[in-house]
Amino acid sequence: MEKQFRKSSGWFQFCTMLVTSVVLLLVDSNTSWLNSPRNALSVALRPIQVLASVPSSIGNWVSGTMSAEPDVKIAYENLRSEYFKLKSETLLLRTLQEENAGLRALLDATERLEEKVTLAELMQVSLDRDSHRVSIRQGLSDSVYLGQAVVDDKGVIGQITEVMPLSSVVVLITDPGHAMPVQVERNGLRTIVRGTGSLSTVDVLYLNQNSDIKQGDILLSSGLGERFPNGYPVAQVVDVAIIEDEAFMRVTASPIAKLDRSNHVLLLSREAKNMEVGANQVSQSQKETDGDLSDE
Amino acid sequence: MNSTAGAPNRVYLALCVSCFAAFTLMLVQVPDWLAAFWPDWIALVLVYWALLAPNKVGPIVGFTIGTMLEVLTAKTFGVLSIGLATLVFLVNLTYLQLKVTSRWLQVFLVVALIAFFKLINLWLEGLVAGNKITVEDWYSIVGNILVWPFVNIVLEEIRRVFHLRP
Repeated sequence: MEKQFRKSSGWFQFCTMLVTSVVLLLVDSNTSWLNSPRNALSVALRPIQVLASVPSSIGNWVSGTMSAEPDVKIAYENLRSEYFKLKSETLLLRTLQEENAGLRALLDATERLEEKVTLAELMQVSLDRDSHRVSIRQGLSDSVYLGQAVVDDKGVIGQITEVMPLSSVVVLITDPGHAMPVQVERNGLRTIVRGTGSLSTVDVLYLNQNSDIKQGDILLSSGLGERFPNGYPVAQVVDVAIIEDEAFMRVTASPIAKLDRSNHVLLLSREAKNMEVGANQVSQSQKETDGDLSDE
Repeated sequence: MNSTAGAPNRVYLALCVSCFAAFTLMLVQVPDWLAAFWPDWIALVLVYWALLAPNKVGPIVGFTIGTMLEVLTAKTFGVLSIGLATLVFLVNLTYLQLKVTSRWLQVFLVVALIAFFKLINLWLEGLVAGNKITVEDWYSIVGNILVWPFVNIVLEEIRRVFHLRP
């Protein structure tokens, strides 16, 4: 008798949980109502995330301390020369910027939006074949917002898809569900780049058989779609194949950013969004980078 | 009368400790060649406790743990919890048979149940995100088979620490 009761209660529990899960699944995949409970839970579960990132940070620390002194010296020299090179380039850039603003004013064009840059630290990387995502240690508290563009020193990495109070999730440009508008640097040809699930390739879509694109072309973000600011390098074309019966060319490119190698990324925020916060963050991130340099 | 009836709280405490470890293992970044074979730690741990205390560890526990894992891995709610609730429920239904079979057959059956959980999980992810199921998704079964004996040993140790009778 008791056993009978227990069995039926098990079925009852199972059916209740099944119905609850299905409802949650439907609600979560169609609306954003469940984001705030998810955020609350993510804060509660933060210790687990921190603990899980311990092995990789220990690995980094060990490889950092084990590297021989000459290596560090060479790295230091390289950084130093690069620093001075960049510094001189910024000087040049400032005059160019003024010149550009003047020309734009002459042409009555609107001024180019400036992006504020914030340094962000990677916390967790999950690279399944069908979802390329990384978590960063910056979240709502650092005024990260949905759709914010993420870049590194070489090129575009991806965009923010989920913002939690203390962390956020970045979807990489190689995620098979991610596509972004780009432009060929050489001739301004507009097209779309879509992730393939492999870190080293992206597909370039919808180019007619007679489009002017060739191996080695650099693809820049075009700024259409209002997610990514224009002019950041995205990928370099590695292969162009024309197959006679197909409407479009098969073009593959490889991302320029160091998607699987950088520990820090940069968040670009539109100036119009929140100017003051952005400015604070820049000075803060600058301090951090300065600190990094002096540490080396 | 179940053997662990006298210590319900200790069961949950032991479950929490082992699940915490399993979460950490699931989130740890592993090299690419290992990632496909990385076992479903949380499923293994849940199967162990569902076998040990079928009255305490039921579909509700599976659902809760699944929801936590969904938050941690930023997946859609429901994708993992349906599978884990089903897995725990199936173990609850068959725990008497699973306990008396030989070790080898037990490994086989446990991994078959986990493969079923995986199938549900992949189906739902296919529905939500449009992913296709490929051979690589099943490599983790090998990892599960290799790791189950060791998980068993470690969890036996945890069981002993928390003074739970088998």
